[in-house]
Amino acid sequence: MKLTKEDIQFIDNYLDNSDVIYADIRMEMVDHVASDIESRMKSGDTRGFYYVFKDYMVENKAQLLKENRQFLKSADKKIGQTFLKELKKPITPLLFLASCIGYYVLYQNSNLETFRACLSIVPLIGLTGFILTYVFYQGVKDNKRFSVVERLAFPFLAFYQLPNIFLIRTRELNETSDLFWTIGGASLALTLMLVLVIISVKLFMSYETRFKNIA
Amino acid sequence: MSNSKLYKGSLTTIILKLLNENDKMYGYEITQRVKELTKGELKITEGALYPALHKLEAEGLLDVEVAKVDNRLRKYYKLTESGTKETVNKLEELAEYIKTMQALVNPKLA
Repeated sequence: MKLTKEDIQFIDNYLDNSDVIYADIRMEMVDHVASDIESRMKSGDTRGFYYVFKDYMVENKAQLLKENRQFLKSADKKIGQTFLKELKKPITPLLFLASCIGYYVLYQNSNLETFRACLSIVPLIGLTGFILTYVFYQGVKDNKRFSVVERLAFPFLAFYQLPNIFLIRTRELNETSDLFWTIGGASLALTLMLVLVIISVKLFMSYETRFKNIA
Repeated sequence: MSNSKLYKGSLTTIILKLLNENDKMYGYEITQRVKELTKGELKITEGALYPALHKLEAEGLLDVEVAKVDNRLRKYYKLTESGTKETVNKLEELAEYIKTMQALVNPKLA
């Protein structure tokens, strides 16, 4: 006994209305609930889908919602671990070094106003990443919300604030130590944001691959 | 999960062991396989199984594959290379634990 498309849609809508908002979490729950209902019906429950579904939810709804909360923690953990893994790669110190050299050369060959303007571009990278995260939704699977992708917005927003700490120092760039901290800080912020953009692209691509060719 | 306190620490090992014996499995299949193997003694709930699977996936021990089956999407889990290595470690740890407990609870059999 297999459930119909309408039955599956009913389960999906029910979970969506129960605050299981992310499609990747709901997909797995729908399959679990449907598999259990099919198993009950196969074992001789002839009352029909809605009655078996109601019984299942009375018994298991609390467990399902607990799973939803746990999944979000796993999503955050996955982002954190992917980020740390990327930070350990040789590209990270190279990006930092290239950024430091770039800013120093710029400082030497331009006036202070141009230098400040170039430093202020750093937060825009974080903002661009944040916007791209949401643009990604427009192109993927009927605007469904995906946990890891959506939660990427939080580190982008946090990193968006990071350069401000260092940009404040550019008000007084009279001493060499100020220049050292400004360039170092801005390069660090730029590197962290670029790494975040890299892992975002990787995570987007993993979702694309995972859901590719699935209607 | 029944006898949850005793079994809770072994859930990861149980999942890894089952996936080591099967190419790929989905969540519900794992719960049913455990129920079948333990003759109903151990029932893994959704609230315990999926967070454990997602944690293993986040740690890079499991890989995921999505397929359309019976009008819905199904998420299959399979071991990664590091997951296979971790399975060996976890099983050794569990064997050692059982041996130690045996020595404590029933020294004659140890």
